[in-house]
Amino acid sequence: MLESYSYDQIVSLVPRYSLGCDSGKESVYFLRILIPNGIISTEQFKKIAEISKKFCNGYAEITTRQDIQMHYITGENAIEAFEILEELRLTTDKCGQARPIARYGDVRNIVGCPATGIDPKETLYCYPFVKKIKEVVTGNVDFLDLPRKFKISISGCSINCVSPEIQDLGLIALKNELGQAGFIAFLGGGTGPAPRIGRPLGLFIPQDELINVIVALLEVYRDYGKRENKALSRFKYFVDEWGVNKIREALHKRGFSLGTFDQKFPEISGREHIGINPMKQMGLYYMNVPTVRGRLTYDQLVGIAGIAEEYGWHEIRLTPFQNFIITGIKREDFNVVLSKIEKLGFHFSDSPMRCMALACAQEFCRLSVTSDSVSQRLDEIIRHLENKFSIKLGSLDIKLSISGCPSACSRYPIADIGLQAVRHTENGVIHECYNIYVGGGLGHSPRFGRLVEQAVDKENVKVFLEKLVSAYLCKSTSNESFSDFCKKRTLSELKVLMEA
Amino acid sequence: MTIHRSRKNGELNLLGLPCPYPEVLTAIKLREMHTNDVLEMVLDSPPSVGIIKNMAFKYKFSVILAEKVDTCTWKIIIKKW
Repeated sequence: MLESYSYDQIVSLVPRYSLGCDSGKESVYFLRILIPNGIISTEQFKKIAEISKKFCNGYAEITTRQDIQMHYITGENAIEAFEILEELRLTTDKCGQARPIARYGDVRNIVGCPATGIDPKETLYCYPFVKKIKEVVTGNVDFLDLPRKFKISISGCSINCVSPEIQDLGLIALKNELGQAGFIAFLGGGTGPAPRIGRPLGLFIPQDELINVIVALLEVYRDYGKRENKALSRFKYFVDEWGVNKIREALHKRGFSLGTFDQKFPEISGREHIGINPMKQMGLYYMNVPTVRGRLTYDQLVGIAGIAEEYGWHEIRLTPFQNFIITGIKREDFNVVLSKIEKLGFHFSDSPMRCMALACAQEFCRLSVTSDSVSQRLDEIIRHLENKFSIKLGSLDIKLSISGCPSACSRYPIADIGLQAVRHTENGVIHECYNIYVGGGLGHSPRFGRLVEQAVDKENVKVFLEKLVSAYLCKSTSNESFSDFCKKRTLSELKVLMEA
Repeated sequence: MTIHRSRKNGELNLLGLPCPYPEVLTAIKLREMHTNDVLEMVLDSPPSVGIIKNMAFKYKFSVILAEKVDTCTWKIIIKKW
């Protein structure tokens, strides 16, 4: 197949397509397809299903950045897959991660609220802005050699489901005192090693200036971001060094005249659009279907597209919680849609714990420190807690997250309960364990989870969590969130609760 | 020495190319090679170094040289026997 491509044809794909490197389950590469705002047509979705079947063992994942990620693809097959994606007007991440230098950083999938345009409470329909900035950066050599990868979110939903405070650039649509809709920004957030909550820019960005402001910030980072040390070249460190005031000055020098804005953290942030919800389009509903950590088979991919075509808007929306949404469903079709969803192997639920549980693709990841399947471990923990607390748990707003390494792709630092895989050596024997972080969260008082228990044996994690949840159910005051319950207690008190 | 006795029929500058391009472009070159041909390439994608060496082994080519030139550049020379 490769023989049919010329050198120039192949090289012409470089600015828009690449693979990342896997290191597990005999997969050499992964293919991460960017789905801007997580919105994809059923036609595109079905073609992606075909790519998964032909090249990727019929397997795909929804990522926390609303991408579709697949494994097992070979270098030779990739060129054909890239050509199919080009026809679909889709692109991939640009992989520069493996290089030991701070170069070839790109703008990652731009995340947005998957309920944009249909959520009755939304401040502003943001998908057009996501598409516009995607057009500006895609394949644009000006933005393919940033010091490191750059993560953007643009959304105006009432629960800030995209977690803007942990993006390199998190943009939230809101109205100013004059009633004009525009954007505020958080700069330099991130959840990897040395996590940061984004710093408020404190400016009001009118809609017609948004794209130019994003481009200006990318240029400032590209031109002045440090490249001497790869580990210290992410945008969060740049914001540490420059400070928000200097970045504001840089925007001013580039001709922007943006009014100041007394920017506060959003009241609610980083939660999921759970269950079946009415759309702003009268008489229609959208249904959020939780998956098992975003893992999908070929049959499920095709089946989801079929349901969306028969009963919905011929589109699928991927959420930052690794779930999918079917839009445009009529009330009279609820039962048949639910039945078809169940037949595909999904368990529809409006339990916050099920809908907001996140796991990374540890089994394929070269950074993973564990051979324990974090996805299965999380599923086991949820089932254990559901069995122990039955109905009570269904109404509990607890966000669980698990990661196979400190990079925190599944964002454990901002979870109510975050689990990080670690290895613990005792008497020369290596044990697969987890660190347990508790009480993280975004919203009006954002905070990272505190490390309460270190190196808990993998089989005991569920028992520790059972005790903590039990204590919360018994001792919390009315309307007290799990995060607030944990916040009020010292590390020692939390340890006592977990080890009781 | 072996290199000098051989026909150096190809050079590939793979600097700046992400995965899988170093592997793919090398694969195309390898298929065009004749006995005693030598292909020399420079690249800066660490995973590609191992992948290309494995590919040469798979196709029964010899990796004559695979060395790190500086902190982020590798040179690989492959010969077809």
